[in-house]
Amino acid sequence: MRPIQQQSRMQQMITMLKQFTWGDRFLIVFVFAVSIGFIPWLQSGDPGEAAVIQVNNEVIATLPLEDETQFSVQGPLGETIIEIKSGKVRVLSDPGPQQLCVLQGWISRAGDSLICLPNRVVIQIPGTPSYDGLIK
Amino acid sequence: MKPGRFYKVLLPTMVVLAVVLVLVAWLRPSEVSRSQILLGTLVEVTVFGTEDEKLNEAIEAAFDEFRRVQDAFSRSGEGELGQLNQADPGTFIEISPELFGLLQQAQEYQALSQGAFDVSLGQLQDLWGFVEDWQGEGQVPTDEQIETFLVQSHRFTLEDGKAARNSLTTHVDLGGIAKGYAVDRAIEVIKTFPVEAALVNAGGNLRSFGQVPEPFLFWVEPRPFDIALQHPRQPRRFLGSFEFREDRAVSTSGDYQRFFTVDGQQYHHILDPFTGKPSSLLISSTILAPTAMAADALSTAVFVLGPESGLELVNSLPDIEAVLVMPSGDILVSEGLRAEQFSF
Repeated sequence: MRPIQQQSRMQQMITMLKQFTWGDRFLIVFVFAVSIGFIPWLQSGDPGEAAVIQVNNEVIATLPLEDETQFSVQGPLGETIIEIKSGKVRVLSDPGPQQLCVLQGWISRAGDSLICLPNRVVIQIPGTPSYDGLIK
Repeated sequence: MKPGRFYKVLLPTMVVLAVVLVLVAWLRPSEVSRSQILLGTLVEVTVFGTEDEKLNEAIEAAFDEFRRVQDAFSRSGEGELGQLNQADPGTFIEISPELFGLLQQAQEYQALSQGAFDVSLGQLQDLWGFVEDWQGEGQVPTDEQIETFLVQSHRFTLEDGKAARNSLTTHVDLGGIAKGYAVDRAIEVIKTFPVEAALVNAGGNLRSFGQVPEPFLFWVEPRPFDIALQHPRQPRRFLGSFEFREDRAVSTSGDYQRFFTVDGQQYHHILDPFTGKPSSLLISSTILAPTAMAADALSTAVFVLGPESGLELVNSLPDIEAVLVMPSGDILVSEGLRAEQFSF
């Protein structure tokens, strides 16, 4: 029989692994799995589940899209009414002359935005869209 | 389990994993994004890096620079451009090197586009209702009114750090170049911070620097910025997308960006200096260039020049590419666009 110290590293490892109980092995695998499981969580961006409302370059509210609500804000031209329903958000009414943000209808995807420029109201759904920048 | 084994094997394993996880979280580049309405459009600034505090400072500094450009180059205010626009024709007034440089660039783009790009049409824009703080309204001027603004060939003169307007109808409006300039300035300011990559998007006038640091397992894999181009007639559709691998800028001029409607007819803000009326040869003109200012000026110039002369100009310039949409909906692209990884 060869002396223990002449065993290769690999053999030592195998010997050690053989001494593990099933409980040991389960724990090691479990710790690894939990650690790997954390990686996607660390990497993921915010889910697009809320509408961030800005008036005059100030964020004044963050509303969850799961709510069913109407929200009114005051801009320089007057009142803009925002509606949230079934995971979507739209501008119900706005004093802007062209009504572009009203005509745009519902938005629901991360990265989408409604801009009522004259009344300085901006509604954005934060999160990671399919692009980094959008040219309009 | 024997206690000895716990200390020899499991505890070290858990400690190593915990350290790795903390390191991954700590070294993972974060993304900070904010937007504000400036220069009459929504300006979105996104920065990537590992020092969160510096990212926020970089964004603040970028918005400050936008505000500075907005105030400095207002055409109707008390600033130097406002003063130039009120000076007696032929009288030279001292201007800052920054404004002098911008006006010089504007003249270069005017020459390059054979007059299609013209920053001295402020009064013509006012006549149509496209005032500086435009709120969405306008009116159609008569042909006689328009005629007044079509006759000058050299609308302002530059000399030794001074500028003079040539006639009472000259009214310098840097709208076709200032947004791009502000985007370039914002990128320069962001670069003075420890930021790995950035994207500044001022309502269709965008510039990137660096590549997106994308975390992948335990390391960071840089990837190009993916820039989507909205369809000019169907806002929910994309015309295509570009991959920006290096510092690159893009700008779109379109008839749908600013317009008003009178008697069912739409009138947009990109005026042809030769007719004094909204140009109708294209519905959108998208230009890729090394700087946002070049992209800004050239997208307006090419929009006015139309498909043939516009593409000819783009193909004659190095590092400039174009995607043009005709009124028929047909899409024309420049010769070198393939290199931009443009995909429909």
